[in-house]
Amino acid sequence: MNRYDSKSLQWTNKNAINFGRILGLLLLCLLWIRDNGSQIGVILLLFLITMTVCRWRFNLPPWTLLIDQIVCLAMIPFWANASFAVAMPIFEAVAIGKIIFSLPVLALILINNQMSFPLVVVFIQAGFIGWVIRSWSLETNKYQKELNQQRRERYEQEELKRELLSANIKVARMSELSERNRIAQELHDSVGHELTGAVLALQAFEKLWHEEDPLAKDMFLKVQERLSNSALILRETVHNIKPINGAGVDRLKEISDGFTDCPLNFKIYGDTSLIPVYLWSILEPCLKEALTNIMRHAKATKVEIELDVNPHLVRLSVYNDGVEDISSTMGMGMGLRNIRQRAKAIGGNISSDMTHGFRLVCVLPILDNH
Amino acid sequence: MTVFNFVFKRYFKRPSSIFFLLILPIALVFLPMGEWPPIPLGFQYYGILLLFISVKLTSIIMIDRENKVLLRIGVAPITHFQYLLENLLAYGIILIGLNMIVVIMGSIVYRESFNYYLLLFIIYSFFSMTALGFSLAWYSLFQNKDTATSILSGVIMLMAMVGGVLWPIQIMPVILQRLAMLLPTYWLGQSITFLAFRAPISEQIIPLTMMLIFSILFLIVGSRRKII
Repeated sequence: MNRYDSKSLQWTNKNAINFGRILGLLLLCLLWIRDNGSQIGVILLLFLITMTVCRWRFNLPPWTLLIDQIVCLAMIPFWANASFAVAMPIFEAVAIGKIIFSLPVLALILINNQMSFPLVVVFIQAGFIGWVIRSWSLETNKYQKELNQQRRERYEQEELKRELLSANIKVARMSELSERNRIAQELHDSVGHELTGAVLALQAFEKLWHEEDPLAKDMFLKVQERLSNSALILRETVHNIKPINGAGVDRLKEISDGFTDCPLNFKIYGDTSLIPVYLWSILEPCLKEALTNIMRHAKATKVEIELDVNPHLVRLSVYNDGVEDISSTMGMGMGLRNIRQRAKAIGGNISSDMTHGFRLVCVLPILDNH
Repeated sequence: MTVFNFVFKRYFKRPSSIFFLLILPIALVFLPMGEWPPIPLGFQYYGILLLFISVKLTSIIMIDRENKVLLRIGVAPITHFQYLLENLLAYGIILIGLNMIVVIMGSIVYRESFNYYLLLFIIYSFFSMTALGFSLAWYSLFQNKDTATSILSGVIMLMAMVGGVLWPIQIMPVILQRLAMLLPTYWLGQSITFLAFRAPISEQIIPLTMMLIFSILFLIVGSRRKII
């Protein structure tokens, strides 16, 4: 809470102490007017007001309460009811939790045997109010501390999440690179060697064939074997590289084929091969989430999906004409929020538009930093 | 002491301040003798004038606040305490100088003892501090100078009337008489009355103490650092 920007008076423990002080001073003022006391009363009153204002402005050390009490005591011979003024230091002492500083004067008054019933009541009342405010402040401080700690933890978690997300992208890029390396190596090691061998053998066969050497037939068979061998290896390599689940745009189509609630129209514009792998990992869950939401909440009659790719941007838009249940659309769901954070981590965004049906748009930048 | 010097430059640049500082106080001295208390009316009304002059003086701080000068001072190599102290010192010097001029003029016009004028000077000087504190505290309650000053002149006249500077306090209802004790002007009136009746100097202790406490109280309230 910022102390300077809150214009309206808030019911906090700090203000409560000030209200208590003002109330005490007002009551003392009334007592003095009623008493027809002498001018001494005004001096005491003004002194107490000054001390109170001091306490409001500065953090006076607790021992200054003793000064208040001594002045109050010194005024008693001139104004009998000055003993009521001691209630103010008692209130202050209890409110800051230093009850010990109100004891000496209490003891002194007890010894002098000036305790009347109203005086005792006033003291107890002042002490009680002070104690209530004291407990209130303790409670507030406790929760404030807890709140601060939780806030800090939340910031740390968000930071961690951000780091994880960016690490995710890095890992995706690195795995892409290492995969490319592996493919290159595999092609070079197996297929490359076989093909080179086949090419050399074919050149030898050509020579033998021209010379009509009987060895030419042997050579031809060898070349044929080598070629079919490399074709086999190539097929195996390709088979090994290809993931079991379809990737990229095929996967999106698979997902949309799984949606059978209503007619669905999937349009693709642009070259989808431009989309890096790590973007698919956002587009996929995004489409899934959108379709799930439509299934769950909207009574749609048609769904239109558009995937728009240009060299700098990918835009996935999922539109349905159903009217969503208002209560379920207040804010974004948990799933979408997660995806949005992932999208934001790579500089994209996910937004929704609720005029005429419901449209979810996911825009992601294609960063060309390979 | 730049702030200190600039207070003088800024204050004496205004033509109205010459009127307030020289013509009015000196004219006051020539007012006739009052019936009650038996003191020249000018000496009695001078307290009100002190209040008005200090309001004029402290408006410099208010103008600084309004024009965001205080905001710039906030980042300048000068603390708010220094700024306030230099301002108040300059105001105090102006007011005390004025008190001296008035008392000296009075001593020329009216034949009284040296102690009488010394006491008068001391009373005025104490009340000057109270008046400065009062206007500082008053301005600290407002954000707009015009609002503050438009209410202030009414408040000052009310304080003067209730406090018994304009007429004897005894003609007012008892409850008002008691409430008036919570105003600084009451104590100025008391002090002047005691002086008029040539009361012993020990009688002056309570009013002067009260004025001192009032000025401390007002200063504590008014010295809050308000930037906007």
